[in-house]
Amino acid sequence: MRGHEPLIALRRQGLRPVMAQIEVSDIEPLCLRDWQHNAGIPVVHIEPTDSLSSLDLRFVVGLVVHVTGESESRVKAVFRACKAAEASRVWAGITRTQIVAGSPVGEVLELLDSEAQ
Amino acid sequence: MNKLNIITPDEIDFSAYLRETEPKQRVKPAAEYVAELIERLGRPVVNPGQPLPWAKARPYFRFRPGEVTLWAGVNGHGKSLMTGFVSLDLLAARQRVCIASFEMKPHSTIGRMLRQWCGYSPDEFQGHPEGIRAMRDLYEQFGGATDKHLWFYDQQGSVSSDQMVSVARYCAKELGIQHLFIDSLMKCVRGTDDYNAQKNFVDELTAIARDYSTHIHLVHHIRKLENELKKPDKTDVKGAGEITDMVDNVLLVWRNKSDETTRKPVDPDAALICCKQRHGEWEGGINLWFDRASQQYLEASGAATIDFAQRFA
Repeated sequence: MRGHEPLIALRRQGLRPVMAQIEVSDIEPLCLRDWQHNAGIPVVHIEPTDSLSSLDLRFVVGLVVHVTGESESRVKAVFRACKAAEASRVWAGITRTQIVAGSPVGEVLELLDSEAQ
Repeated sequence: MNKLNIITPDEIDFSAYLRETEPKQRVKPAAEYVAELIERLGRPVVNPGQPLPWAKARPYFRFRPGEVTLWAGVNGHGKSLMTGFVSLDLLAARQRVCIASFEMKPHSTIGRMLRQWCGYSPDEFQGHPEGIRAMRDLYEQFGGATDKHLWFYDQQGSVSSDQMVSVARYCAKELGIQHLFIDSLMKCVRGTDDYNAQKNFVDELTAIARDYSTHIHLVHHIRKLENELKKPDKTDVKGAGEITDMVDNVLLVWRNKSDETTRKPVDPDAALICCKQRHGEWEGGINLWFDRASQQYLEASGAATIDFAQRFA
């Protein structure tokens, strides 16, 4: 997992972002080290090698969290883990990216909302 | 225009929250891990790590993320040359590599890697403009291929262990380095008999490797053997015995110092001996043959050198 440390440092200073984005992906997110290009929303990257049961997601406590990724089982596991870590609300999107006419096209296959469950 | 407050005061005392929830976070039921193992069944292993450069060794050994490999050998047995060769192979696999060598300047290290990349020494082309032009093209290709993938920590002499630990953390965290080569441990810890400092340094490196899912390659020396023809083993590693206990892998580099003129072609020029692999089953040695022109280690006597230019393409 990468990108969580600046968020933890921010919260240790008594500050919080409006929301956090967690990408469950084998590709490093574009704004991982550069929040201002993501409207100031911190991005956390959970890599395929990360063991989900060992991740410490306490940094999401009280935050609205948006989880995305292509692996249904891993996105759902992170969704459950964020709820268990007491995020105020969790959205999760299981996505698929296809190359159409040479360009990547994203599609949301399933959307989960902690308030709808 | 209203300004969007993207960072606001936190109503939670986060430091206190972390302290209070620490035990709950760390003590977990086994069922959580079992559920994950079940979920992984049937899925291919994601990023099992990078293999050694030689085809014959590929099934047996991996440089896995989150691990530390100790490269040890007698002074002059080719540890730095071999780690340079391995780093080139890692670069060919599009890994991000940083080299911290306290005995060789970045120019010298790159020069040697370029020779392994090209297969020739630039000295061979002195006075031949066409040869120099061809070499220049290869050098430029190398520069392009390693751009944003190869980094150097430019520090000569020695460095404090704290400074090296900070550099390792910066490389892993900020640059996303996947393989950091530190050459060598004795340049980071003063005092050959300061076993506690050596132990603490290696302990810090293992924590960084694990926390940032990076692989740290640590070069170290072994005691001078009574007979240099003898292949070393794990107990010959210098310094604190805990060093080999703490790292995940131990690779020993051995050079055949017997008389080259009387050596048979089947006799290797060098060997790489794996005497510890925490997450792999194989331990053993592989014989290697040295190609002087390219400075590459080959897997068989007379085998073709690796065409790195093609592999990078």
